[in-house]
Amino acid sequence: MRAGDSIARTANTTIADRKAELLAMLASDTPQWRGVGRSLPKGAAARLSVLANEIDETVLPRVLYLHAGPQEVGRITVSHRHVIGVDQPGRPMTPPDPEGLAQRFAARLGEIAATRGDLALTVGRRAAAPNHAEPSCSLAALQTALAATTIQTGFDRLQDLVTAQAAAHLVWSEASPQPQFSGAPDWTRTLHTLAEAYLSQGCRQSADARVGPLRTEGLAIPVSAQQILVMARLERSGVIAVLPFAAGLEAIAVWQRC
Amino acid sequence: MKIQDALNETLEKTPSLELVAFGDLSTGLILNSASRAACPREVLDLIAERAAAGFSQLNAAALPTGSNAEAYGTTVIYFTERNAEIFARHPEAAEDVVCAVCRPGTPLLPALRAGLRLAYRIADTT
Repeated sequence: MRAGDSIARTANTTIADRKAELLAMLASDTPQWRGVGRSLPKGAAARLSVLANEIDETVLPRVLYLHAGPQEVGRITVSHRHVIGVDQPGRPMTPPDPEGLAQRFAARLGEIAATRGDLALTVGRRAAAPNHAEPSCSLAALQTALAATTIQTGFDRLQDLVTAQAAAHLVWSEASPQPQFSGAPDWTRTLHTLAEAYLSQGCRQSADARVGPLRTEGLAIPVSAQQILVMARLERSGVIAVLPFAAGLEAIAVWQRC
Repeated sequence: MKIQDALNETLEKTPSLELVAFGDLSTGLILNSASRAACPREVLDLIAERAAAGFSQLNAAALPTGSNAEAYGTTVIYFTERNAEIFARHPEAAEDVVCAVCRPGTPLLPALRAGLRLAYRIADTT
């Protein structure tokens, strides 16, 4: 045997080994075949925007793993730019109803995106072979559903921030349109009067008198050196609260930073 | 003191501000402004509209006892998730308004103080 034949055989063996290794690598779904994790921005809206871009760029079956520190908070199964599943630990998805799929996915994505602290994204290959019959949701449908989910999450977060520190507050929502008062009784009349004026202003500005702004917006009005009124609304939900002056200003800045 | 100089000075001294403007609430017009980046007239008009809408919410008669009627009525903050605008005026020059647009997420107190100080300064010299 010539030396050249031996070299060629060795090279062929190496190529065959490398092919086998690559095939094994492609067939496996072990964690090391996940991509490198990257941090997501702080705000829920910015996080959802990054996830939407990732979904839009995903053609082959992939799983987007979302972690808050070491803890997995969700995984999104994607294929051909369609979302097939959004799973959260301890909350497996029940058999999907194709009609409400986008809303259910959007609600879960909204919750994941609103995770406090740092959130990281890692992309991995999907273990299960794609099933073309499985229901999926297009990015467009998901984004339409997300538009409502995102802003609702923002409003809820603001409401939580202001009511937690309020001396008194008044809240209303689509489910409970009658304003509900809580706190120091000497603020009852003031908050109800302000709510009435605030709601009537919303009706004047909106094309549909029953609906408020499509994004969370609010006003903060100092009432003394010690106290400030914070009022905010989104569509049919709203909150008016009286807070310590510094806490009220800080709540708005914190809400904007999250 | 020229109003424009006062606006420029306030913007320079308050890093959390993107824009400072002086306007008239009765006509809804911004008369002078200073900003870090160019600001279209349409945006200034919207700011003036929000200032007027914000002050229209005030109803001193509805305040509980113990509230400070002077503090109530001089400043209003309009905010969204990405925006905070402070409107300030002197109690004796209620149609003259200072509008201060803040960088999102920055502490509001320095901007509030700067806006109110500017409103009083303009009222005292005009």
